[in-house]
Amino acid sequence: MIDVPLTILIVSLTVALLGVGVWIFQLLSRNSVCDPSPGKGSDKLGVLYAFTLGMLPWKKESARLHWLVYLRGISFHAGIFAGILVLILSIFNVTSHNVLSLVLSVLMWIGVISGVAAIVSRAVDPKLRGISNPDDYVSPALITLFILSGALHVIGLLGTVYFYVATSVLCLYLPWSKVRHCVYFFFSRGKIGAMMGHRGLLMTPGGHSRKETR
Amino acid sequence: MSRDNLTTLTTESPAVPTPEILDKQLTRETVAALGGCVRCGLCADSCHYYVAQPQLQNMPVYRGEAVRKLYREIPGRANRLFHKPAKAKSSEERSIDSLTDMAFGTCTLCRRCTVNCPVGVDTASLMRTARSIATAMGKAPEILVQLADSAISRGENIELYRDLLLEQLKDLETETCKKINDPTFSIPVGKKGADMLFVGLSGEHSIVPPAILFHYAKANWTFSMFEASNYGSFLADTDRSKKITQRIIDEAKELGVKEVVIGECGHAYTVLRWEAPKWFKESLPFRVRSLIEVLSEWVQNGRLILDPDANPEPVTYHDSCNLGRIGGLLEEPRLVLRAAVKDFRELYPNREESYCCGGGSGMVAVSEWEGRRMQAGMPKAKQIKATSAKIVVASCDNCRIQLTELNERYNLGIKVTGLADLVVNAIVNKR
Repeated sequence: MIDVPLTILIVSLTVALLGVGVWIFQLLSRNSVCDPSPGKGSDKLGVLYAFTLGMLPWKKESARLHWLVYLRGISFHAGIFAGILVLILSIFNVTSHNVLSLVLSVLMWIGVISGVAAIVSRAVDPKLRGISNPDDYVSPALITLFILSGALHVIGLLGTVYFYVATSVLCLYLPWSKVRHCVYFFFSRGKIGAMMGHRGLLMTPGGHSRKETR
Repeated sequence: MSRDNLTTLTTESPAVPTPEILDKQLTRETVAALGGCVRCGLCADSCHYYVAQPQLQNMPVYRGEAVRKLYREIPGRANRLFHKPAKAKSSEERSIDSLTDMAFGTCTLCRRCTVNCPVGVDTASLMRTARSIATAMGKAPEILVQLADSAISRGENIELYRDLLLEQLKDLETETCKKINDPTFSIPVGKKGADMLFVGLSGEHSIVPPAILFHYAKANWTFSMFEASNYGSFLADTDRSKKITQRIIDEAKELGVKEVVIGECGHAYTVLRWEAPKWFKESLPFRVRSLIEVLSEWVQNGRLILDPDANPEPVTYHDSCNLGRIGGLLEEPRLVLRAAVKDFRELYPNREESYCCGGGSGMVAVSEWEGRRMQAGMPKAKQIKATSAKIVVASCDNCRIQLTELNERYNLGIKVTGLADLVVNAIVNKR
């Protein structure tokens, strides 16, 4: 007997993965600029820095000035990853430990709140509204719905079918959405990190803005 | 620039770049910058234009979206399916003229938004792409094109300029000999076997102080026939940029120097040190350093001994974007300044978080943009005022011009100078 919701989910996941494949193809089909200049620092350390210390909120003025937005972004993404884990456990029919379920549930509820807050703040802030397109509302809305369904599913308030349907809708939309940043993020950030590392910018002892007079 | 030229920058036209022009500009880096933005708006406060005037149009993301719209409109691309063409909101947004104005006149390619983007979207590279498209379509500010072409022409006809340059240098030599009371002072030109080729800018201020320092440090150096400026880089025109750079490469090779030292110029340093190897797809056959790096080395190894009491007034340092955030020279100028001045004060924010002064990437050359340039320089003016410094050091000629004008506009009561000038003033081990 065919499990219809699971089949729909697998088809949707395949569509989403194909979309990711297209994004990667679009990126790799272009030439990358190679830099033969003798470096002042290390490209590799720069990349490492970009994905570790460079992600810390106090390392960026944009995060320092907008720490609430930064936290919202972090908790939203934590909710997404928790939702993905719940989905994987559900597909493979694995019963998670109560403590893990609780942790995932908390992460997802915070993620839901963050997602709603992101949509609302985009809608009410005239400047954010001005730079937004419909996808900027649809993508977070579908993702929030996915996290919400996962959060309800993990505490037994929502059946697997609804969770899979919410996930499938998101997956089918994904190739056309700004979720593509999940692919480009690694390349862009890695490239900037490599460039700054190469030019000796990130690892210098005084390489960060300091409030000092002497 | 004539009134006609101004008109070409502002008149709306429905021109959309051909797919070939657009396609040629796209690298893996630009595709990532086009696709990676989530329009979170966190880049806004990092832009000095936005800080000075918090408007939608001054948000880096808004500028990036203008290029994204063009990208989505490339006909026949397979990726159209996944980059659904967005309806432009108005004819203005579709226009290549407004994109040109945006890329050349409202962004100094300072990369402050890039380092502040959570995703790492390099909006400056998108603006460079837009500049490149505009230049290819003949829409770039004419003054920048003229300056680039004149540098190329100078390289092709150096014999016409040689005598005039030598005569000017001779005059400078004579004046400087008297000024420093040292008859052995000289500005060598075309000296084969010299260790370093110094490439300055036009104007005595960029030639004499470094020459005095080379003299006192007993350097085996020679002066370049060419200027370090590369307006091809402002145009984002790789062909022009390469031709301008090639003159210096050829000269360095001919003289057999070990290194090329770039005078106090932000973009010239970045071009030769970091960008040229990318254009030529190979590392250059000599070392490239900024004068700042050389001075930093000489101060550290005692080749130049400085007396900070010679510069008693409070001094602050403006990090040129091309030297600092883009070029990687953050600590070297500070090391020199701490040795050369008595009261060094940091601007805040500083180093890679420093605000652009608003004069970079060709802005100071386009007189029509003076108003917006002064407006965009407001954050820098406020920073300077907060330090109560009397002297502002800028190791970039464009920054110096801009800061001098900001001084007048915002009544800062400062003197803008180069690093070499203060070092000359503080030098102890004169011959």
